Amino acid sequence: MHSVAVVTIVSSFLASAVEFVEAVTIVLAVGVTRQWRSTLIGVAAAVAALAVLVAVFGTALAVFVPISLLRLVVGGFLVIYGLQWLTKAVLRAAGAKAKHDEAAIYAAEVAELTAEPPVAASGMDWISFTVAFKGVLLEGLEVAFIVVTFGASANLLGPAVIGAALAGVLVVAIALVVHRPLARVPENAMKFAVGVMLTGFGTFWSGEGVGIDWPGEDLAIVILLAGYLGLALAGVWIVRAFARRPGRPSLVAGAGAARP
Amino acid sequence: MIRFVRAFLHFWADFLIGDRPELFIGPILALVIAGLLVGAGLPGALVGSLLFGAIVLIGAFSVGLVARR
Repeated sequence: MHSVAVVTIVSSFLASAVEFVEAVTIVLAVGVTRQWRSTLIGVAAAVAALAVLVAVFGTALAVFVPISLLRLVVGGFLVIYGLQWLTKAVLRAAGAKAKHDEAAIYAAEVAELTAEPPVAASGMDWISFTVAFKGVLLEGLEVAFIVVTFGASANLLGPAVIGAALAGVLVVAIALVVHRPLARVPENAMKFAVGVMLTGFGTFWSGEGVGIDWPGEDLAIVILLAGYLGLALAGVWIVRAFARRPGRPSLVAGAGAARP
Repeated sequence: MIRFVRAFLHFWADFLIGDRPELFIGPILALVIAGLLVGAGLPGALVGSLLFGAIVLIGAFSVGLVARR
């Protein structure tokens, strides 16, 4: 298989797995606290809406937009989005920002749902439906954004969808087995890897979009990825050293909210 | 209708910009400058290296801002 296709599957898989873990936390909280039937209908409705979005926008982008314009705009978005993930991952790895705590998010979600009016004895529970639909749709939109942009830019929408689908199947299967929030997933390491990939590919494609003729062609992608990875790891080390300076309060103590 | 448009724009602004505007504006500026440099006839290797450097600086600046808070 072509190396770019493999990277597309891996990027899509990792990014999707992170978002699926977050969506599963919400779904579990709603299902366990209220009613599974309405929750699962909400999940199915959100998945259907996302599938339509990916099919429509993915096809439209790939078919109707010239590849140079597509790579400029979509590559630019990938750099923006990749940098957001990468900088957050650097800050979390260095202890300057609180890590995502699925167990804490699950507990907060359960407490919030318990305060809602009780579930009706029969029929649809619209609170379960709405919370599950909204949670899966919002987390899924991030997946859809990455799958569509990454897939369309590389002209590999199929592998991008395969990566996302594999992640979805794996995360849901694990959630069904353990039946509790997936708190032990190395979420920050995955976000770190995805941030590097999105930023690296985004730089390459948007660069091509503005007319840069990269030396070494596809080899430039490897150099960009290695460069971003090395500098991001150096960034973790520098921020950690900054936190340890005498007289500086602990960065972790001042870390932000658990959610991204 | 206006409420829907406003909510739609707010969603995308939050999605792409959030609380880190430097990570949205910075790469766009870097790409505009890279395009101008390519148009001026600078070699691809040089402009590519400058684009990479600019994106690293933008990321470092953003991390620095958060770490100093």
